[in-house]
Amino acid sequence: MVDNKYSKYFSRLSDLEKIHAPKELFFEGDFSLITKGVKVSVVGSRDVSPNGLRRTEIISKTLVEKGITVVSGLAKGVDTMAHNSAIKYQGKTIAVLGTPLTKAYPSSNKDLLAKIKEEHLAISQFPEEYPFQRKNFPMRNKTMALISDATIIIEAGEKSGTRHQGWEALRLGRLVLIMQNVAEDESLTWPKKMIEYGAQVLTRENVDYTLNNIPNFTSAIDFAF
Amino acid sequence: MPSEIINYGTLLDYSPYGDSEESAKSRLFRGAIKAGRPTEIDLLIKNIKDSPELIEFFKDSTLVPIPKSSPHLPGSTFPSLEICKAIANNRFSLGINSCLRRITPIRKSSLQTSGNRPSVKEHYDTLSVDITIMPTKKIILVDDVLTRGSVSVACVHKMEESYPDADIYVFALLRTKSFVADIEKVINPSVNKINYYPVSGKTYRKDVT
Repeated sequence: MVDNKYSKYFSRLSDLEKIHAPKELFFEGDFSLITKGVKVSVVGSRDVSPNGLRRTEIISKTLVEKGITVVSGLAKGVDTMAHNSAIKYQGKTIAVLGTPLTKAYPSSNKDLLAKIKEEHLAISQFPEEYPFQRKNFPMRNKTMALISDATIIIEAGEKSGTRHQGWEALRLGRLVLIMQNVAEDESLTWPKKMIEYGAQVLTRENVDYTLNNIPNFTSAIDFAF
Repeated sequence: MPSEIINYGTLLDYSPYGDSEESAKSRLFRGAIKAGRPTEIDLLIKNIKDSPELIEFFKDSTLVPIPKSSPHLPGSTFPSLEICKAIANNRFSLGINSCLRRITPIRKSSLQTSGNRPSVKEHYDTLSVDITIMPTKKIILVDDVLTRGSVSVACVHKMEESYPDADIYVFALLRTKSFVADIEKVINPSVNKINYYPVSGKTYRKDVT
């Protein structure tokens, strides 16, 4: 579905936000999930570790308990666990696709995508017949950064595409939260660089307070002032 | 000797947790301000025209944006600068001088419990001033949100070293009111003081009730 809901959303963005914002957006489901409430992206590796999967579920459950919509990219690994956990714990989720709306990637997530379209929200900036290209995914990651109030990075290797989302979120002034075990991983260089520019470390001690205090950057102000 | 009393102005009240309509509005404004959206910021700043107190506060001043909690990422949002631009574009102030920088990151105050917020000294140690000619004696350091005032006090102290003859004030577009259940109105211009106690390193906002 394409209608003027996204053009209204796009018109409210600052010039800085519009730089990487899609010019059009296709969606199926409840578009108000984008314009209302706090939204947090939960992202990370496709080849996530068992501990990473466990952390994804715990974080997603915690977000749902706080009434926060879980945003992710329908990919294998962290994304799939994030969407499934949001659904399992009766929360809301937004899938931001790196493919046209009719195409689940990976194809094993076809049923998950159908459920998200039916009961939540699926969005894509790619029209039907848009070719599958690797660069679609960094573009998708920037869109996720735009529509989210915060991005939580569960696990990401040195060359992971998740880094694109982290940097775009920092550029937009959104919160970037890096799991403590990732921030302290001496084999990675990207966490230290992101922390230098404002990413925060998410720990067991601060997770509750942090998630309770995420600014609502993205909700519409639909009253006169 | 670093100042122990800092005069500040503010335009909007912000409630982090209140349930009223005004409290909810204040949180949406906070989000738009922190996203650095010029249109919303300009509309809010225009309310200064209805406050003789704030008009006088800004008169004949140069604005200096207070940096975020980390060094500036080129091409990224800078809410304090957007607020400065709106104030200057509406001719409440004479100009802007972006001389104050954050040279090392510090944990975000808004994400810390009250016992773990960075102190005045911790903020002070992360700041630097690029000394340039300041065209006015009155300097107003501009921030998006004022809570306890530790950032403000640290920035004032840093600027006083470089501009010892200047009169330095602080303006925050939003003032946090976490000690009341709900705020009655969002637009609430005010001029008040922050006390700094050098022995303890603590700050106290005079309007806290």
